[in-house]
Amino acid sequence: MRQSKRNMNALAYVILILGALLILFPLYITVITTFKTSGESASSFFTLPRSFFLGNYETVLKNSTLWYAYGNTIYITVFSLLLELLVMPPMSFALSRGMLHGSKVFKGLYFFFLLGIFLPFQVRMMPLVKLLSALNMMNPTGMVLLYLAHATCESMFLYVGYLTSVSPSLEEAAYIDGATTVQTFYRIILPLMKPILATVMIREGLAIWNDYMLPLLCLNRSNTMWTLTLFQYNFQSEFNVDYNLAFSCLVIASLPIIVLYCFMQKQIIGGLTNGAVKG
Amino acid sequence: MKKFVAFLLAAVMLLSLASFAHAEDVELEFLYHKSETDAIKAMQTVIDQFNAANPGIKVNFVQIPDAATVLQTRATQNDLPDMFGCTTSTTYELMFESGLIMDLTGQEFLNNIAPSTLALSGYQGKIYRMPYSLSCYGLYVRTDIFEQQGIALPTTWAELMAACEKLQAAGIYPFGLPDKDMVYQRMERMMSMLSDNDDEFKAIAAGELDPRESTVLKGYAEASLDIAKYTNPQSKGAGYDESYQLFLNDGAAMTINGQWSLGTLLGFNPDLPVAMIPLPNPVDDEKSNVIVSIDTSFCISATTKHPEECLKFLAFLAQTDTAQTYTDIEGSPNVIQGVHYSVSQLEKINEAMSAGKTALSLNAIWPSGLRKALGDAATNLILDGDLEAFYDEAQLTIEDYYNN
Amino acid sequence: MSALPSKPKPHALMRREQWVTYLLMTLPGLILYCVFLILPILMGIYYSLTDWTGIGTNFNFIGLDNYVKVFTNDKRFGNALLFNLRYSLFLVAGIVVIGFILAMLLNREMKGRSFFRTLYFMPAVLSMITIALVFKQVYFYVLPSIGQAVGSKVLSENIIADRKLAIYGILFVHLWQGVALPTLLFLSGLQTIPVDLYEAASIDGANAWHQFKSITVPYILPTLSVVLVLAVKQGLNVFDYINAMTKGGPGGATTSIAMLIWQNAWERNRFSYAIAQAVITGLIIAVISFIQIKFTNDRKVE
Repeated sequence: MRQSKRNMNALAYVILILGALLILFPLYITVITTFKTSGESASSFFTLPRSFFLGNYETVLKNSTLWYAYGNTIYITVFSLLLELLVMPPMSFALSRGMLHGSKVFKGLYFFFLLGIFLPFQVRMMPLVKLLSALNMMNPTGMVLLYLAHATCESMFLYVGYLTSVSPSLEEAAYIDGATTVQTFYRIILPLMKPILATVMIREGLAIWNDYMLPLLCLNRSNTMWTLTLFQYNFQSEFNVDYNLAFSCLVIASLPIIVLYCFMQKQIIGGLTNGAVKG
Repeated sequence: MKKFVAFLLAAVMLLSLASFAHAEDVELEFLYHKSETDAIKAMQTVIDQFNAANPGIKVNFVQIPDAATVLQTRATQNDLPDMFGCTTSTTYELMFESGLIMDLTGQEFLNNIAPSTLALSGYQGKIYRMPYSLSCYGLYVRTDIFEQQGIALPTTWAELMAACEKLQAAGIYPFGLPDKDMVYQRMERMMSMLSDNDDEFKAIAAGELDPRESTVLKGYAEASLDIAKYTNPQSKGAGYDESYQLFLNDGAAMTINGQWSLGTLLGFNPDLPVAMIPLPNPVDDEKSNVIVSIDTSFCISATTKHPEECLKFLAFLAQTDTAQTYTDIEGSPNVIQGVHYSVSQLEKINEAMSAGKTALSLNAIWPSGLRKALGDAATNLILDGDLEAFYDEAQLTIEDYYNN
Repeated sequence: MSALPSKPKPHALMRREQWVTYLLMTLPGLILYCVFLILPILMGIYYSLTDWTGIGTNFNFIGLDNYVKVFTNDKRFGNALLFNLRYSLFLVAGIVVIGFILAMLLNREMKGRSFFRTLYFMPAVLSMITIALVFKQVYFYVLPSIGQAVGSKVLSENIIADRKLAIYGILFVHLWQGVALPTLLFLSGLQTIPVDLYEAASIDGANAWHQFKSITVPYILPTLSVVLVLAVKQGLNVFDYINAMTKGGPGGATTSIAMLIWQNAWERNRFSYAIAQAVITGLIIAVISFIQIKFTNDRKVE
């Protein structure tokens, strides 16, 4: 028994380490390229840099657009997530419990919301931009509302999926004790939703942070409105890729998230475990 | 955590304040369509000059990835920037037709443009765009390799093939090409050398001409197979960048591309022994023309609130000294009269162009999107060498694009 | 088994207060959804019934002509649909199998677990287009030289330059990046399983496979359902990865529906037609997903 467990662990390590190499190799290329001149990476793309050239980072960091882009991206991401945290979990709770009670209204609403997942973005892309322009919302704040609206489909789907596996016996006890629905939700259900909240926030946060198409179409009036992706892709247009600058941008743009994830990893995973539900 | 959030909010507020500076000037939005580093630098320089010389007017330079997509989206909302740069394609004609663009016909500054180019820029007898610079397409040669092998620069198709044969025998791949997803461009430019109109395509679409009888399709297809015999096999997976690397690192002695590549190539190696020459015509040696396209034109939106100021900016761009500054930095032939264009690597191209040996890119008259779709057939031809399949696929594509 | 998350019996009566509160909780999301999603979709559907080029304001109402054309006169659409179905099949299988195995491994008590958890999440953080740049270089330089070294003819050429293999080249990159989030979802799904269930099963003498089948799988089904729907949607809508890797080539071999829609809308100025194609694609995805949601829901009740 012990022996077999040790073998399993060894196997797990082998698989995980092989996978880790697969993940690290492209990351290695990305990082070393940022320390090379364009001439050097042209002649030797895969080897370690001869000297640690810092000019790429200097160029990127000196570009004033970067700081606008940082500000806008943080603004859009943070406020989208905060509002989403406010709006989506109660809504998903209501939908899931409404359905549980056999209400046709909530079941109908649920499937109505699901529709938005399936229709490809292209159907609504142009009209959406038109609408935003008519509402005078072609700015970072408009984007916040847009992302929030987008989250109504997929995030709702994830939350409801999770809530159906959370047993309603706990809330029932609360109701018997005389708590209102709102109180029950915030005191009993929301804490149980920690794992899925963490997952959805990460998912949404990354999608917003790395989104390209919507900012391109909505925030093109001036580069003071740009997000990091627009700034970044500026160095890698279709016919003209500056690998050194593009990858330096990527590192600068991704670093905060990686650091944040490393710091919060314990809490996220901790959140996952705390949420464990007794069946 | 709280401090962090407060810091963020403060930062955001500062940023939003910063964007409200200079409110008293007339601000003009100028969207630029090019993404090459040199082009951006050139445009920024002349805009700075204009802003300095014209207090009270501020041209805001907007440069963005995928500018064509952005422009098209804004055209759908009737919300074009005050001014923008564009290339040549049927999409822009739709904008002219819809009345989205200001009519520039008769503006005095247009007299400063080479008349032959201006004539090509008209649409239904009117001028909606001010042509500014050209792109030219041709053959890049590594002069050091050619010298080592004792090969003269080829001027006819036969000479080109002989050169390829000799290079191949010496163990050097003649061509390194961006054949992964850029075949369509070479196809379109080579076809432009073979014909100056699309009458044959119209006839094919109408069922009046067998594609096998089309001089354009046949001429291109056979030349393409000739080239394929001498192409570094890595080209199949190469985009622009990888094809540059092949050319830079002795993976090929020649490549076929536009003058816009020169800046990138020299950026990698400023001492690269390279020359760009006209691509020999595979069918008619007399017509080994430089294939040109009006690469940069400037338009004014019909709905701009400041038409006077916009016209003033175009007039400024049309001045010889402004255009000279732009050309010196950007590096492509300019159509403003009196501008000198001298890039040593492009000497042969210049000679041919001054001698009037040019052919105009057909993309300006083909239906939108045709070249990319036909490019699929051209790519398959390179991969399989199957002429019959190429003619069939080309026929289906041409029928689809001309009849729908 | 009684240990399953049991579906409660529907309340005979939902209290009125509850019903109203639920509705109020739904309202803000509903309004946003209607304004920013449903309204544009309806506008889009309206355009699909016209001959709008995408530029200017002139167009005519032409009824269902665009839809008829997609079905009767568009070989490209059929080819693209087949490509998407094949792509989705591989993508979904890859995401589910790899994601689940990784989640199981990362859920084990072992040294370095949090290091691996962080590392395996990294691909999700990076922007896709830049990752595609790296992989294009790997496919161009590294893979062929490995292929030559091991004497494999298939691998010694750039795989995204080969019409048969290009799809796998794109899929690899998509999975490389796309597996991270499903892994996280599975990982959080695994946390809902009470540990004492496994202990009880061991005491009862159930072997590992049996435990997996009767405890892990039933508990992971709701997560699986979610992952499946999102993966199917990704597969049938795939655009970014293809546009960045092959642009639909070589020779149109990897043209997905979304690529085709993009070409029609932006390169061919047939905007209304492109939207008609998008609507049809949406319906196909909806049908597949509803069947699949129903299927997993039925299994869950067992």
